[in-house]
Amino acid sequence: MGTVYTIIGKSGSGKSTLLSLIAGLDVCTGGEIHHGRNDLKNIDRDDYRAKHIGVVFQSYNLLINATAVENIILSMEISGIKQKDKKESAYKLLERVGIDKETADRKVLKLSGGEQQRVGIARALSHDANMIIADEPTGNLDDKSEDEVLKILTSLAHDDGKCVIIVTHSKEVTAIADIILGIKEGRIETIKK
Amino acid sequence: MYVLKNALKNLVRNRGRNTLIAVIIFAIITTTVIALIINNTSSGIIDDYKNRFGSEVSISPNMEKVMQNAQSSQSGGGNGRQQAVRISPPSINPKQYLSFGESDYLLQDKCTYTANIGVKCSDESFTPIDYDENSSSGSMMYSVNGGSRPAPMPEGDEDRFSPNMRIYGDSWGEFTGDSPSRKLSEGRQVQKDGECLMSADLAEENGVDIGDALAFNATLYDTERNPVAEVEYSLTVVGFYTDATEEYPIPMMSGNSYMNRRNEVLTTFDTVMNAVSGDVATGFNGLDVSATYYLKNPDMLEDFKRELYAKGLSGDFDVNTDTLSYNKIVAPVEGLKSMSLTFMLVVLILGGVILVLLSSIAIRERKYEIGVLRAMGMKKGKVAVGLWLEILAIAAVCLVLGITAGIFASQPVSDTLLERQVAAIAEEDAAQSAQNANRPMIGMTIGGGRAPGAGTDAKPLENMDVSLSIVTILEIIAVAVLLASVSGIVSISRITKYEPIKILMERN
Repeated sequence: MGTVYTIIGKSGSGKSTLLSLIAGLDVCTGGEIHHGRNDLKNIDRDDYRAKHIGVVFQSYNLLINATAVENIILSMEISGIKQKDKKESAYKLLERVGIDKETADRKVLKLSGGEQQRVGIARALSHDANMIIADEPTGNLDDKSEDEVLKILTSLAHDDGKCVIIVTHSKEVTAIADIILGIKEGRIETIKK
Repeated sequence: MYVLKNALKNLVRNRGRNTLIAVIIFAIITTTVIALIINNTSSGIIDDYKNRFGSEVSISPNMEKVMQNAQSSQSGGGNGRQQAVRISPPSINPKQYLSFGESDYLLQDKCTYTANIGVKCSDESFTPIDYDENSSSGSMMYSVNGGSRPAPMPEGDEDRFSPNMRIYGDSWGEFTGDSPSRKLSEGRQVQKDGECLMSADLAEENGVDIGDALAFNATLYDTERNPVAEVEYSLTVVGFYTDATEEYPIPMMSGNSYMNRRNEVLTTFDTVMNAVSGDVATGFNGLDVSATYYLKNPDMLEDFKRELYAKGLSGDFDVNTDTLSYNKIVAPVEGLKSMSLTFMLVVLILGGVILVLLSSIAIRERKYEIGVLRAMGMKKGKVAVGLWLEILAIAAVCLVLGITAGIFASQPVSDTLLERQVAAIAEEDAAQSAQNANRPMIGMTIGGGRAPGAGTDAKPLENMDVSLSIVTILEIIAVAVLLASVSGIVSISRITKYEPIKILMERN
């Protein structure tokens, strides 16, 4: 069974920076971040992002002119997944996060916030990464959508055995965490189970 | 592969922006196609005319120099009284003609030599057409460089040999071409030295049959009118020709048997020249040799000139190519070429700048998209290739449309521009003619040759059939790829500056 981690802290405490560093989107100027035995500084971070980690953004960060399914397929292509019917797999992934086929064929721009975030989660899962990190994944969602997204993330950890790290301000999100990390001025100060 | 697929999908995803880019590329390619088609076609025409008019060499006496020389040589020995100036036209030795033709600057295969000599038939019963024994109609002719002009027999020269007909060596030009003026009517063409063709009229007048042998003789003189050689020919008639031209090319010479074209006996150049022994010059002497030389390259004219003067050509001769005809015919096309080239350069530079600006704006708009792709793990190089492929695909579509549009538009555009060029040249010519009419005539030629700079009957090229060649297509493709690459470079240089986290954070 995987674990759901939440990182909490005040604005400017360094939560998102830590997430960017873990996601390989930024490089740390001091200290080390390891993926397995490899220091992230010394590996191809494009390759790391493409194959080993799934990122869910608060602002979804999808290709808005492409359809939901195209976003997933492109992520698979970038990851170099050798799968014959990528489209079918993409539909299945989207179905798993509650996006039906009809919605999957619509342009991202025409989807609701909740739908877009679910597409973002499906994209993070598209290359079967062991670690899913999410930066304020419910920050732009209404309560109903928030519940649905949190159920998916919990399920990813508890059912699929993935490591899910969530940066959040939200008490609702913190409530689903297995481990809560409190961060202050760039340092992890509290760890609650 | 997925980079290409994504690039092609992006063409449809970003229809508005891509349409704008496509319109600009289409406009650039269409104008480039028109300009290149016109430019390449006119280049071909210019090269062709350059070879035809720019490489044929003419050697003609500069009469201004000749007169100056004559005046200066006689003023020194003058006795103070005003006296007539005696002009001795310069001459070229036949051996010199052959020696000039050996130049490395010439296309040996294209060089042609012709010779003609004033003769009388040794058989006194043989009478040339229009020959009147008592009227000395066969007066001595002098010539230089191809033509002939009658001269009055000088006083005291009454006993001088006076030819009444001519033998031509290798003068076969009138038997060829689209509408030959001479045709073989009976027998066969001359195949070896010692054989000749005779006009059917002359043969009929004298009862000559094919296979008959005729003897001719001539006396050659030097420029001081001293006899230098006796020449005899024995020719076998192998055929008769009919002549569609007038008997007398110069109407005022009617009745002069020497000038009658029906009295011309045609044989080989070697037959004419082998019978002539000694160092005989052309000119007043009765023997006339002319040569047509073709330079391998018109630019070799100056070198060829130097070689001729070094080989002994008199400084009184000018060596020129037919630049006047060349200029008159080709000037409008050259104007058209230069206009199309300038137009193309302006369009390419302006279009290129617009395209670079547009690409720059487009990339800024797509910054977010690039950030997302980079966050997903796509490498910078692949993002850049994707953007380049997009613009290349647009350029490819525009290339097909632009070439099609250019093919249809180039002919009317070319016609309009050429018409204007011809009109401009005609106006220039008219102004030049008006100016020349007020100037005194300072030169003349002997022997019917045209002096360099004399008027030309050449008509300017008024129609140009433009067509698309493989070379033009390749050039257009190169232009399209260049345009796509230039705007691609802008994209690539921008992408290297974008870090995904910064782009996404900016947006968030």
